[in-house]
Amino acid sequence: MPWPVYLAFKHLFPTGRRAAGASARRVLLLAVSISTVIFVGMLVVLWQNGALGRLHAYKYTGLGSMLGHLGLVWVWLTLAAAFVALIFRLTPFFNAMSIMGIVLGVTVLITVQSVMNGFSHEYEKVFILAQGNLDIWAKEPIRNPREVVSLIKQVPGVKLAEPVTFGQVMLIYQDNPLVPKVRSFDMNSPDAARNPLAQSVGLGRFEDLDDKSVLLGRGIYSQLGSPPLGSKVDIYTPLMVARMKKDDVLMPKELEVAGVFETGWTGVDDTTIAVTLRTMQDLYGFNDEAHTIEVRLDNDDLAHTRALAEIIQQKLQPLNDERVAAGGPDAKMSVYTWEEMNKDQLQILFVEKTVMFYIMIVIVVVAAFCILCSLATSVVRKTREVGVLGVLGAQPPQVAAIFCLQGLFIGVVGTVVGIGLSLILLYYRQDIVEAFVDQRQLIEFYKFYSFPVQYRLTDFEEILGFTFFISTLAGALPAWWAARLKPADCLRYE
Amino acid sequence: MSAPILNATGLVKHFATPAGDLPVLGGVDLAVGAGESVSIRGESGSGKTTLLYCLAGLETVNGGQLAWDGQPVMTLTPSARAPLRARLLGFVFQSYYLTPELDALENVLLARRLAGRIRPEDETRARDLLGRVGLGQRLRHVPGKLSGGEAQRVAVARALLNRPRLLLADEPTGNLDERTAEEVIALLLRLCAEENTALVLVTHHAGFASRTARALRLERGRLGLVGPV
Repeated sequence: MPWPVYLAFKHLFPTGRRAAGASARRVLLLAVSISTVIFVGMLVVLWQNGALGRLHAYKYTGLGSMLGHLGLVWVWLTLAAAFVALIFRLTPFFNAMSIMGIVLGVTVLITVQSVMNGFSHEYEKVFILAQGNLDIWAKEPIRNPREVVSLIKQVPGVKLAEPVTFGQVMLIYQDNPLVPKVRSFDMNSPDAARNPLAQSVGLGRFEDLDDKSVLLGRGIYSQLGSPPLGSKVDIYTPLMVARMKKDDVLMPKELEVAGVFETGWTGVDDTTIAVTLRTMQDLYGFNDEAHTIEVRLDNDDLAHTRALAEIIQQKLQPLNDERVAAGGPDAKMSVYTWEEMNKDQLQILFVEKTVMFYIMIVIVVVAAFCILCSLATSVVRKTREVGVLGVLGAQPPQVAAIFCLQGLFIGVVGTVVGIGLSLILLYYRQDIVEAFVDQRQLIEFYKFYSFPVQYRLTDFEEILGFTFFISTLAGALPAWWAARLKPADCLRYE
Repeated sequence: MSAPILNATGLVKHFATPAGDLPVLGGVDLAVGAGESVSIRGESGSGKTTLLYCLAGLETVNGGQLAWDGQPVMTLTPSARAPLRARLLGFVFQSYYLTPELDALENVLLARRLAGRIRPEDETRARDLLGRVGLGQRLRHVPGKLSGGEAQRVAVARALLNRPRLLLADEPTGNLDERTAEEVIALLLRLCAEENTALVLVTHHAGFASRTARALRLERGRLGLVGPV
């Protein structure tokens, strides 16, 4: 290997610093001591905030199970402490501290970015679940929606298409009022039963939904006190209220509970009920109309979705021309992807993720300053060694390369360890979160049952690239100093 | 008759200071033949180390000529001089200047590593040299585990690894006790003779200086002969 690489590696991991025999036993003893102290402190904190009792009550089958799990946590802590102690054993103190700085920075960055990706991905799934991959809207309700559906289903890649009507109603059961969202299913369409929401009916049967019945989301069902199937609920709509203002009698629509669906997303389960398209048309005074055509594709990939949106828009053009000519410009139908439908929420998530990235990256920058200080100190300490290298035939750029490469090696080691640590933290994320936050609070606020995470290669590439770059750059100033040193001056240095 | 290994004529060196130029060398002439040993003595501050660095091409001179093995050196750029110096010259310093992160064998091989790839015969030679300096059992010891004398022996082995034509030694016994210094000097002279390497030894010690083939004295910026030719 080129000698600057060799010397840079040796400066980082000098010969003679090995953890074997007695020193290995010392490393292990130190690791056990540190991990035990941390573990006991963690138990105290968990006990004080009631988490131990909560974990015992809700998460584990018994005391033995909980103790076993906590014991595993202690083992992980010991391994981590042993690894840190090993790094401090194998490399000089300042280098080890620099490595730890990079480890912390990379761990935080990957953890935060992966969790933010997870949130985005979960919201993406909820959006697609609730709205489909594509929606076709016009400025007025779409007339003869089945004609549009049959046109759209000719496009390859379209798995389902059905007319849907949305709204908000007041639902009352035994004097218990709620205001859920309501969506419709066209029971005459074979695609209705293939809708993911329809397939999530756990209590009752989706096929039992008719013009006199309703499906409740799991959360709605629980809030109403778990009414048995066949119970009657009263539905009030804005149209009914408007008629009441004209002195008409306000009579609710009485529907029978036909089933309960549970998609797994509280944003849907806690807020939505489902009726037939005919029922919705009655409730909202529509004729053969629907608010939208909900389209589901064979593939959720966003690029594929965008491409099919364009194809479907072109497919609808002749029908649009007809309808606009007959009914005016508001009849024009436009195709929207789920991304376009929810761009405000997605933009918020993107901004959150980006801002978090730039805030967290400061940690890596601070670590890079630590590397710079460490290497600058190294240049001063090794002034005479730099002189000897010059005497032995080293060129200034080669001497500079030693210190730049040290920075790079610190970055590489810290990044690899940081990635490993972040993957372990993310694997145990649910346990860590539940130790400090009641899961019910988690569900109530974020609407997820479990803490989401998604790994994206681009995030790893960006973080690795930046860390390697900034670590090498941190070595550049000390390297420049070293390269400017004259051998004779170095040898005279006291 | 072959060209001298080292041929310096009229070397002039002064340092610029705020108070004006400080003259150090006022026209030094020195020629060293192949395998010859030369010692240079002088009082503290007489410029012995400066002279050595000028002879090694590490200091720029203000006048005069210098040639290594017949090759003019002053006309070369520092980057062109460095590989020539690595090939032709070896160095032993007062403070050993071993790399603390490398063990004895790695320190010796460093001289070869800077010159290019290490070949198997280089490692064989390094082991042989360390054996000849009495450190055959201490190959894997880092400088921190070696005594001053042992560290200086490693430095001697490092200096001789590339089979230099000329070895420059700047007070190699300055940090050693009398007995260890005696051993190191004897070792240095013996190995240089065995390797047919010329030696320029800068020393305070009159006894050590008298053991070289020629003893010179640096006074008022000039070299004068003291001992036998």
